[in-house]
Amino acid sequence: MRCPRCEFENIPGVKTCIRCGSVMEAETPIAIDPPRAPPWKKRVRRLVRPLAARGSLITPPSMAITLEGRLFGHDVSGITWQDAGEGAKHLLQRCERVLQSLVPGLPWFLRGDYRIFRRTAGLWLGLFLMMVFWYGTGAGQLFRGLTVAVHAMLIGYANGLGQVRRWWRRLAIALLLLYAVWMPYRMIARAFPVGQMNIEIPAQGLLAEDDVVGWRGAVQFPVNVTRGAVVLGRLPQMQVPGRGVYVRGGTVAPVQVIGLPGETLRLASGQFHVDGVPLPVDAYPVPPSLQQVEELEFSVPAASYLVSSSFLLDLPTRNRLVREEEVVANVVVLPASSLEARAVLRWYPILRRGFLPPNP
Amino acid sequence: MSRFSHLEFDRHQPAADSPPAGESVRDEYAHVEAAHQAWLAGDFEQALREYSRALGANNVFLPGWSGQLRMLVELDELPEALLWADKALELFPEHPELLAAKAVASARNLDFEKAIMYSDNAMSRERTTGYIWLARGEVLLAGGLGRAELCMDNALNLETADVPALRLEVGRTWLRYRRYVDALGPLRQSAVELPASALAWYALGACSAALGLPETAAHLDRALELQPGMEAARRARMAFQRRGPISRLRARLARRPNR
Repeated sequence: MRCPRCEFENIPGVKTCIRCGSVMEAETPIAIDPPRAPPWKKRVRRLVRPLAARGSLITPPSMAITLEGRLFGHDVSGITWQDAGEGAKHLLQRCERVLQSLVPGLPWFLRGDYRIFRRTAGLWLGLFLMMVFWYGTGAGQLFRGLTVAVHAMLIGYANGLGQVRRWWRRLAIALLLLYAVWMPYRMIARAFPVGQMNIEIPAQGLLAEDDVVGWRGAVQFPVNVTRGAVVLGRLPQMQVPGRGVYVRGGTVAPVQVIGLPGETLRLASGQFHVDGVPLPVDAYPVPPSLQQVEELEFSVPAASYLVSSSFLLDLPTRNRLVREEEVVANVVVLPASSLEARAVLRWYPILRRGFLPPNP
Repeated sequence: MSRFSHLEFDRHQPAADSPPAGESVRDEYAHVEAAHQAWLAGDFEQALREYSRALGANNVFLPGWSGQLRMLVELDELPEALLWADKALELFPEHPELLAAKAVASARNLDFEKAIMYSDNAMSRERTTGYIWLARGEVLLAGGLGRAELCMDNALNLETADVPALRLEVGRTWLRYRRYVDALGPLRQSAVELPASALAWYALGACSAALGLPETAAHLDRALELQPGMEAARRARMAFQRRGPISRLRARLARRPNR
């Protein structure tokens, strides 16, 4: 039997060539059709390949740096760094690698380790989606923590954290990384605050105790806060009428904008009136505790809004262990700066998730 | 079963999986030749299919494995090519041609360290072929390491090499790494040596287009005439027709030697 590769004459019946080790005759069937890449994958690869060409975008010229003078009290004149260009190139490559590692799994994708990419990016994406799904709840916070931890771990390992020898150095770097990664996630949470409705607005399909998600970017003062919009407002310090006590503010809760700056509103027979025109009750509901009031008039100062809600306020007592009383604040004038975000999504209950009307 | 059923007479019975009467039987060499013709026509998919058919006829046929690898690289399916190279190397351990093909796939996949390693391994074997030198040249070009010219010359100077096809490959390699001035000579010569090859004319046309030469249109037309379905040539032809002042300026700059 002659070897197809080295043409060595082997003993009949051998499976591999004695001389070069090539397979003589395959007894078991061998797959002969190569694996193929779908067209979309080829297109994606073509797009990301320039990113993977490390240091190809900027290549500093080779140069040498010669120092002159004194540095920290030492004479450094005449010290020459021959490979300054190479050093700069390495630095650029390093920066590029760090930037790539910010996207979970991207370094492995660019390296062609698709198996690791699928696992790492899949894990991160799964946790991220769970975080989004349970956003605003305890489970959401747990998933946010896990997502941050996995993201920080991926960044760390893509940049050689596993090669750091001493455990305390590794721990310190990991903690710093965790803190750094936590920041953007915290910014996401700050950009999309969550609050629970206290009033029912049938026209917008909102029930009491529905949770809404706001978006800070949707509030641009004073242009786009229209009458009827549900916004997440920060409650100010308030004096409870007739009781002479001050209530500490700071709670963020959804409120409905009823009066715009400079307007005078009247509440009569369970309906708001602006310039004598009654506002429809299903779109501008009056809080329950004010529905029995005969008549009330509100003037909205400049750069402030009259908002309606039902804030439950704890009154301070001498004995801090006892909650003495709760007072309902129904209609409040909030300065424009206290309107933090506009509610854009009805978030809980899950089955009623959906967008709120942009122009109620 | 009759008692004469085991007797060996000089009879010819068609096997169950043999082709029907009237169709020519093609062995692995014929398939490899067909694959080579498809490659010259610029139809890499067809070439890959032919190499697979060659392996269907004989699954330990080295040119079939090597050809499949090269076609996967041509089709820009580099991770698949690397995977397939590993499989081929299981059958033919440390075969220089397979190692060279793997080096090219690694180099195009921007993994220069591995590319150099595989190329070194391929070069250290006893028999060096033109393709191994060509792969070495490409790896050096991809890594920006220089001395690629020497490798290309060695590839063409080997006595056993299929020189016209190799010259075309050398020209295409220069072209791939935007060394248009270096590519022009081998590509012109390969178009003369392989006048029926659409790939040769297309490569020459692409090189001429990059240099802004007036004969570009004729080269690309010739490629389209030989292979009317050649999408790359059609696109290059249209791009050449619509080229603007920036393309002309780039072509003028590309014409400078030793860039």
